[in-house]
Amino acid sequence: MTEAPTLTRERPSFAEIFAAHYPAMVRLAGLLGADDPEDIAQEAFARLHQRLARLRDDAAAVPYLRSIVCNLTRNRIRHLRLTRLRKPEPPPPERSGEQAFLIAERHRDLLAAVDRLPRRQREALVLRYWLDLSEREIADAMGVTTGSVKSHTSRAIAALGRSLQESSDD
Amino acid sequence: MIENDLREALRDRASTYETSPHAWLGVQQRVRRTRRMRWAALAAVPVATAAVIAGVPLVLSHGGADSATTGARTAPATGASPERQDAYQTQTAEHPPIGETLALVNPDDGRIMRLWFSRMPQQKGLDQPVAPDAPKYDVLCWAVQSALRGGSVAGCPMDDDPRHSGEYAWYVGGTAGKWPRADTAISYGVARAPVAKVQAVAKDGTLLPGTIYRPEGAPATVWAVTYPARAQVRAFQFSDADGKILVRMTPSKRSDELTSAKPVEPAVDLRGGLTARLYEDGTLAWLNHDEVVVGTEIMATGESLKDAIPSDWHFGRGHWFGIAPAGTARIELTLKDGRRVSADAIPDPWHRGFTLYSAPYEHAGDVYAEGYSIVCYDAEGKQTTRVDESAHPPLWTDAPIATPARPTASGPDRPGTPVTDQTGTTATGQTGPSSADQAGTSTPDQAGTSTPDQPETPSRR
Repeated sequence: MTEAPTLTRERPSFAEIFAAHYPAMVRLAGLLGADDPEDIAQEAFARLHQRLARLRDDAAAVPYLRSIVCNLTRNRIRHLRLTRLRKPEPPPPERSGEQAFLIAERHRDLLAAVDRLPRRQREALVLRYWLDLSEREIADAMGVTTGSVKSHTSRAIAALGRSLQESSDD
Repeated sequence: MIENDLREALRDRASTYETSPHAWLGVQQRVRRTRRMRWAALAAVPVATAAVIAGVPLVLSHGGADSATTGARTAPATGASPERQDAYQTQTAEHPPIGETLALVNPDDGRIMRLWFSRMPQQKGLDQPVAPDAPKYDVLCWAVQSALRGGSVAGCPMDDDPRHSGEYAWYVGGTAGKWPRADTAISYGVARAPVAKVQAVAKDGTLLPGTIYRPEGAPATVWAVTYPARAQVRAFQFSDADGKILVRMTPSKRSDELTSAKPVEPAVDLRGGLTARLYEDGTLAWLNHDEVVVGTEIMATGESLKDAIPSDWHFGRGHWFGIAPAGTARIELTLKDGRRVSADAIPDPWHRGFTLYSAPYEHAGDVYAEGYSIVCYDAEGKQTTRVDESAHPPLWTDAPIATPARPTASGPDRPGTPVTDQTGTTATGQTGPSSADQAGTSTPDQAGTSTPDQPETPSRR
């Protein structure tokens, strides 16, 4: 036979998107402070599945996932604050033991300072310095303007600097 | 620079977040749950209306059709509650896996099905012994479970031509042909290099993406496509990593009719909203208002079933239904949470010695995993039969759900790679993959499997 005509534009399947991006979404949720990053990531993919056919193009799936992870993590942290009446910092997520300990030692002060940042500033930093997103992409993920992204990022960096300075003074 | 330290710190912390091997299952379960919730919202009004008309209690909860695949072309291993023999274990003891065993989610009921390659000697026929010098081939074995009965069944079918010479991919099994038809079906089979992509071709030409799995250590890849039954898939299309279509395969045509036998008059409109129809070949079908078959049974033809089948039941498409012993006037289902569904039973009009019933039913949980009881009452309200169905928790839940192979770069150059039409044979003048390429095994061991769907006939009890 001859090649069959392609009748529809080919898009990556849901399974392929999952295979390619699930670990990253778990990590994003974890870095944003989710107490159960996998729960957040799985829910994000379930929502993507609902919406996949309506996304404007292939490239929209991952930004959509990122924004859902941000929203769900934000909601989760808010929920924990309200229901557990505890300090704003989310509980430390589960990590592999020895490796986590070594990393905690190496970056203890810096990561502790990140954990203390207001959630918007933390989101902006993680999206900027871990995912290397542009301000436009960060704005889309956070649901804010690019001006807000600039503001959150600069304030976060300044806050980290102050925090590290205080740590070194101690 | 704090920015550089921050990048490193975030990267290091990110590397500590581990992902569960069950993540894919978790996502699929959430997807299914979302679908059920949306369906329930849509269905609540008509179901409630039906309940009022039928005069039976309504339980707004969810259940799925029994998706058991209960037979095999080659002798399958079976396991059943309460012993819960594991057919996968039984089958792999005899036919050990070559490489990793895949665990996929059966979209019909959300339970896990398993696929693995095993090397088997060729058997010319089921009635012939295996010759000592019989050539061996790698075949794709499968194991599925029955949510309704809690059992499992496995098989290692081999084709008449287990070499599959010249074929890039072939069909092994699926759920598309089973009755009752499920909303979502899965088809799967074996693929060889350089196949990197599979798509189902719907009746209207839409391409539905599938998945290629590369079980570690296995002699070939496995393809699988999950698709809505309404798509009426007509073919499966296989491409290489560059998107070049290698082959388009048309599965053998399956009948759209449940049976070719004539119906036995009359059909029975049951109070719970279903219609029961018996056919001359012994097929008993339950149909909903849209004439969609929601359940089937195969009855022995001619003889009375008064003692042979005391009771049988099904859950599917918003109904609980089945047959009960003669003399039953009312039958009641009690769920683990104490909720009850009741149905009036009526004598079968074909004088076969049983009664029929149906009732609207939905259940938010997994009724099979929870267990339930069924009690029959006669016209005086006296209990005549009681069945306490034990819980049938899903099998193989500890098996990591297969993660799809990530798209890879194009494989080795294969000049003259043929384009074959597997609806027939390799096109004239073209050759498929060489024998040495087949499934990565050395001759005479070749990957090969049988072609029919896993058995899709209604279960017989």
